[in-house]
Amino acid sequence: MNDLRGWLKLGCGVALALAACQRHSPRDVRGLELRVLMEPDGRGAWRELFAEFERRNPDVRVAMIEGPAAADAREDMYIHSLLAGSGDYDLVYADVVWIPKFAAAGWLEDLTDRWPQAEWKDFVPATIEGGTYKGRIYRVPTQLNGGVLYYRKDLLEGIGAAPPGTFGELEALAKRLQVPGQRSGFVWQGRQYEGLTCNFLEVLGGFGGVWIRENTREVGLDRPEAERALTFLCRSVGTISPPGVTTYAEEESRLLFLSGGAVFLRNWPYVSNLLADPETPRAGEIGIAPMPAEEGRQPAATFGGAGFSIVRTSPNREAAWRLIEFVSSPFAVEFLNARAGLQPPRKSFYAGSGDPRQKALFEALQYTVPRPALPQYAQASDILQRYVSAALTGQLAPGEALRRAAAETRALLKGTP
Amino acid sequence: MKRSSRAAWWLLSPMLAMVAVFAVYPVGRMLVLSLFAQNLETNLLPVFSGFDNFLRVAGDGHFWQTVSRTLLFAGLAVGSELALGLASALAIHHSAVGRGLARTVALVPWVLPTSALALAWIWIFNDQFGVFNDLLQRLGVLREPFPWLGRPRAAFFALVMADVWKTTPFMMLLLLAGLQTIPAQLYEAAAIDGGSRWQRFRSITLPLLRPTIFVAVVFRALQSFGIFDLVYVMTGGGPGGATETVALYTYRNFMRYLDFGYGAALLVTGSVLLMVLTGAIWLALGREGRPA
Repeated sequence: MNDLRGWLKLGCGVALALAACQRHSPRDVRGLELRVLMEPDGRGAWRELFAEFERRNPDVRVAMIEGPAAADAREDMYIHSLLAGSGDYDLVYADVVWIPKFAAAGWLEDLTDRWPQAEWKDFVPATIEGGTYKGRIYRVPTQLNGGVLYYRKDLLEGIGAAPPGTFGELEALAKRLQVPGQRSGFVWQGRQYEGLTCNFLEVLGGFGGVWIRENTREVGLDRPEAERALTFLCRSVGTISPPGVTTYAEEESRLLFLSGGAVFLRNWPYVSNLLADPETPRAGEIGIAPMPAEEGRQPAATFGGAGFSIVRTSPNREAAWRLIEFVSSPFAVEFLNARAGLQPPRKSFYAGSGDPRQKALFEALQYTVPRPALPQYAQASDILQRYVSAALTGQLAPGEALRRAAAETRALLKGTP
Repeated sequence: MKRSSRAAWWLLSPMLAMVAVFAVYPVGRMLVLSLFAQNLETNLLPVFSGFDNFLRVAGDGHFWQTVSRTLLFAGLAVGSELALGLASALAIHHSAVGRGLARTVALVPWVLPTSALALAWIWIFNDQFGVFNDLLQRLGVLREPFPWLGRPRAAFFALVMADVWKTTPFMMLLLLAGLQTIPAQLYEAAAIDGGSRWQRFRSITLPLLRPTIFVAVVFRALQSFGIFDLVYVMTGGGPGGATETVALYTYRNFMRYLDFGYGAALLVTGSVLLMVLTGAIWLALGREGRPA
């Protein structure tokens, strides 16, 4: 008898525990709910924007899950969920490099026919290309992001120089203005990570080189332009860039630059938004220019930035599309710029803006080029990062590193459509 | 008799169910998955491929590089942790005062989250702002700041150092527990027989501590062979792939490349290597003084 009572207690305990574990389903609270995993919403801009959407669409509620700030970690969370088909999310707040992989996996809704072509014209082309896989659109951009060159206006004006247009000019100015032990010439992101791919592609583009041609799968890493590009970066380390540049990500280089430790900085537009903050040191002394390029060539700014996709298996795809239309509207992108510092992808925003910093950013971001939309993008980028980093840290000569990277990349892409 | 054994099974059943769900099932699933191709080329559907994945592992030079690198990491890290852990365990064991406090303070690095520590290490090793370079320059060891995480060997050394700093307390605690099980009479008897400190350490402490050392080394070796968070945050495998470990490479195949079949084969291979490693440690340390 005692036994039985014990078992009953245990049973109740287990039942309670199970009940506590079960996720309450908020979908039946009122109307339908759109779930999306985002980056931390520090200043509350997204929350406010979604509240405005809910006000305009009383039948829909937006549940924003604030994930980690690192895009890689959020990608993992999306992959876990989408792979298990668990229906956690209706939308994907997607970084541009996820799109080919997610689209190839069949996780994303094709948005080409939903999105009126008349709308496309207002967007900077790279922002749309970045959401395209095999000619179909899977993502609507809400942000334009790309590498730009920040420079110390006061120092350049002091010697009567204009911002550098070519890599040679950059090198010469950096050498002239750097002070050994106090101020470096040029800082950028040389750590082995995705940012290194972005940095290298900008220099590669400026030298007229190609990484991978998306349509033909042609690999251009062992061409002379690529070797010139990597040689330029390798030569910079220890001459115009501090040796530690090979360990820097965005913040290390940004802090060094804003604390007066460098003349030039390659970084994303977020730095420009910090300049609007009066607390930022030297805010008034910093100018923005496009990345340099060899004489007669176009500069390149690696395109990054976020946008929204719809999960193909979501039951709420119609409402999700309404949300996408709203967050990519001129009103929303301007709001996000003012409140969260996201660069709008719409040309009309810049045409209407009187802010000289916005004009300078737009001028530099005109040259954004997308990274190749391949399902094996992550593999290709890992190969490139590894060999570029090996060359920068003196483990391999630039030419040898690029030859090996090219061979591995070709083996990776061989036989794939 | 019969009744009590049935009750015993009932009482065991929640634990057995846990083991089945969280250990047996995933391991079995991984073994099955390793025999399939499941990646973007197969539209993420499993297609039986026999031992193809394992043939690819065998020919994957990059993987075997990460294996030897990880073994070197584990050897250096666990070796230093054992030496430092044993020294500090002996010190704490013999000091009557403040033992509790010392134990608590020493544990702090071990309870802090690795990924947060790794972020701190990045800044500690930074060439411009880092405290490590500053110290060495003040001591006159370095004339110019050195990019520790930007040189292949130095980055590897920095990782070992960060790992040793974090896990030595754990080693120390295990060894301290082992030391406290050694009866004091043995030392008294040895002292009466005129044994020196070194003789007492060689002939009493070390042999009786051997079972504990074996357990601690196996535990730490397995953990450090699977090192992931520290490397992922501190170097991302760089520079030039010089610090990429087995766990990082396996993770990339799973989560970044969505190559699940191959990732599973890498995991299975890694597990077999771990069994061999454990066997080797047993041969070296565990045979005689094995715990009953």
